Amino acid sequence: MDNPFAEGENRLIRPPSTAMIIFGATGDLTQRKLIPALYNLQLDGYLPPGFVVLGVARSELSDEEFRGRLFQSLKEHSRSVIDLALWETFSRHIFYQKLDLKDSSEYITLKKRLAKLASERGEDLNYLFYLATAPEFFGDIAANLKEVGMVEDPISGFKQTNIVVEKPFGNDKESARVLNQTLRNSFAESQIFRIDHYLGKETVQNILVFRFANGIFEPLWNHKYIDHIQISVCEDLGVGSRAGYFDKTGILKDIVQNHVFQILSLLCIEPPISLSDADSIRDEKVKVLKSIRPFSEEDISKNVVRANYTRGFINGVPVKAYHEEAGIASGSQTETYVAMKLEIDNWRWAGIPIYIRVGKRLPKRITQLTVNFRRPPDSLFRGRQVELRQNALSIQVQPREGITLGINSKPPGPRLRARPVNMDFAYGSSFGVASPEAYERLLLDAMKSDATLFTRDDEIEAAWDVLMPVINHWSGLSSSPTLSYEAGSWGPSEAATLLKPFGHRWERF
Amino acid sequence: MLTSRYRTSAFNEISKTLGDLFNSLDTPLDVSMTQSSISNFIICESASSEKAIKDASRLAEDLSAFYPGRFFVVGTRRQSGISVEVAVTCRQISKNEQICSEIVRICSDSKSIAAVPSLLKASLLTGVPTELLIGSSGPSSYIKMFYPIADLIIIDSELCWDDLSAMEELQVRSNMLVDLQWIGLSPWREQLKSVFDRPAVKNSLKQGRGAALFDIQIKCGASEIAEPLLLAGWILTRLKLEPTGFGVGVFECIAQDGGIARLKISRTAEKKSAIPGVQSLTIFLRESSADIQPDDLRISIRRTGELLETEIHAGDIHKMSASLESQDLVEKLRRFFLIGESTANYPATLKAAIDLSRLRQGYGDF
Repeated sequence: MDNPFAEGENRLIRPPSTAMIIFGATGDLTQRKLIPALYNLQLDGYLPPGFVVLGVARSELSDEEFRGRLFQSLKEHSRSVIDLALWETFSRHIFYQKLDLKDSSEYITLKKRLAKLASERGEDLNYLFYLATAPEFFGDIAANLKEVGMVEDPISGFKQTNIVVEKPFGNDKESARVLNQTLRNSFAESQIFRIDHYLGKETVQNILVFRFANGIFEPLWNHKYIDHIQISVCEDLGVGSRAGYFDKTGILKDIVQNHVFQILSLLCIEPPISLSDADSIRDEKVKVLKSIRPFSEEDISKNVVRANYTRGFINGVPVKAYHEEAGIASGSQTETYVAMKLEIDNWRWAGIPIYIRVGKRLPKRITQLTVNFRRPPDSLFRGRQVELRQNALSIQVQPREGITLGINSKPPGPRLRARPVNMDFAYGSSFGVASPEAYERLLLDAMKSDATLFTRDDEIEAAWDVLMPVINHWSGLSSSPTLSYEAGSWGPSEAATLLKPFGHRWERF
Repeated sequence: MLTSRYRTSAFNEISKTLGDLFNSLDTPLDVSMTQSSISNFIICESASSEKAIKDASRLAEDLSAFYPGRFFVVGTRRQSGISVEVAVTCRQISKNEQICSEIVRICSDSKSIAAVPSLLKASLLTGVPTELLIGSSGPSSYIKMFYPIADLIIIDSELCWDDLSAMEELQVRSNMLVDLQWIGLSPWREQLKSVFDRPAVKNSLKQGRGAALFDIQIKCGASEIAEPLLLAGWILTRLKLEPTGFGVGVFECIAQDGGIARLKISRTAEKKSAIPGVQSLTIFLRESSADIQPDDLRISIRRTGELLETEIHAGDIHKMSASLESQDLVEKLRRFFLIGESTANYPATLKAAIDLSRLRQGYGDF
């Protein structure tokens, strides 16, 4: 018998009482993202009364010292103004436990601490283990939690015990497979939540609502009416403090493998059986990734461009070249820019070019998906002063969340002319509320055991499958060297050449 | 929040007067102002008092803070004729963006009432939904004139349960009703759903039982009726139990598989509970038709201050807690419009609640 009280009801608004145990609690992620997200959830009244945040790290800190550190960073990173009285209440839910991640005996202390916190609250607490650590610790943490009996059976247990892991999900297909296996040795797949914060963004979630709640677009959402798709993830920042990590990784693995492929799969999925069952959506996303035409050696030379930035100006300020940044190996071939053309070989998308452009030190920060529709026959307007633009549906993920439909319209006046104009929807001015941070939604969902916005093991592996030929080609001897582009430009000229044979050009922002 | 003064408007110039008011707002140079156009929201008061109109206008301002749109405050007065006043209210949504709502206040004497819906029809924003909130005096023949304009009718059914025929009349429109009592019950529904999401509890329902044997006990405060009836109605419909009789304070219900369930609604001993509404809910799932045994699955949820505390006896004892939502009208509407509250089960629930009411007609209070 399924839950008789679930049908027709909303998904839970508030999660059950949960202890969120953050491993690597003294790190950047906890201070910049996790605690501000939890604070804002508390502010909006979404956290359950018995929630606990237990920070875990190697440093020797008291609860008070830990709270003090978090307060300092919260002031800097919270989207809302800090209310001291609310912080006072909120901070009483935060605790700290010193722990050597590799020492299994210390996990018994952790278990006792959590039992004590639950007993003080007079109720059972679910556990959400958040691994904000380097991936090399994932295996030890998961195994130790299992060994001391802190991982409940998802089928018969009373408590929900879930684990959240951050990207990178491996460095290639094989390491991703090993990582998945390591986690599955201790947790069931249903208990593993791989977080990709792009999926927590309102506009990304809106892709599904937009596509499947509007009758006018879905009939056009195929190769008959769509000419091509562009996905651009542009950053004006350089590698900053992540130089060491980035130089080993590159933007293909850092952004395309996860964020871009997640967006692409949502944009192109078939209607799922249900929107309320996590696996229905994820099954369809995997199908999209598996349908991407594999890159041949020839495709990679013709359809993939990689480059890194030279000196230039961003917003009027001179910036260093990639090779001049601290922590970058001299002569590094690591790409800070990738442009590529790919195709999805299925019934809906056959023959439609999908262009991806991702780069650092581009003129401005913008993430946008643009679906360009085929042109109408222009015979009616031939010989007239008209500029017929392709109808384009643009979904802007950041910085201004919203959707714009480009149409052609007659300007006022005695002549029959046409000019492109936009029909515009912006989140803020339409709904009158600011969008929450992506982590807020994702943490809440993980506490509620709702995996819809989290990535499944086979999604990760399918995404790596697409990129492995490119990665292998680049690491081979026959690969041409990484190109360069001036910081503050829109990338190397070869990226523009990539679209030319098909009569397309990159969208101007 | 910046609200302009109310300005009198001619009937056929409501939109123009609103536009003039909007343009005359004292706006900082670096702030863009947007007029919202996502809904029409009508607040209808049948009580003819200045205070009722003022309260309704304040409610419109409060709602505009999270649900911007064009608000109509409609009321009656003794003074003859119809008067129209308009105002604009704006609020900052980001550093350099303000979003503005419009308020149109229409007051009429009893003779002119029939003309008011036509005024509204001419001034509604086109292409967006229209919601009608029935004010504190409940539905009257005057308010019913506005039903055909609305896509959604928001009502507090506590105002109607004394008159079963009024409830039956509302039941006809149950698909477009948003009952504030139903929204008030959402923490109870969530908590019960959450309990049955637990594998251990879900499994106990699976364990090859014969006919379902439920005992359901609801305790409520001293005078209210809507919340306990709706909660009972929801539980019965979700468990597919049909009420068949009432006697000695207990409803007899039959399950689809022939099992018998008992439902008891009673009042708490305290004369006046601090927070009105349901105070506790206990569900027993009996192993046999005999009386309740200690090993039977028991779920007990009770209100303690601002919390709902739950105890589950399923072999072991497990405890959970959840926050109770505020019962404030604005807060309930915020939850409905901003977070989303499902009303999918409401029509069936209302029908079951009316059935329960009919069965106990003539028996007095619970």
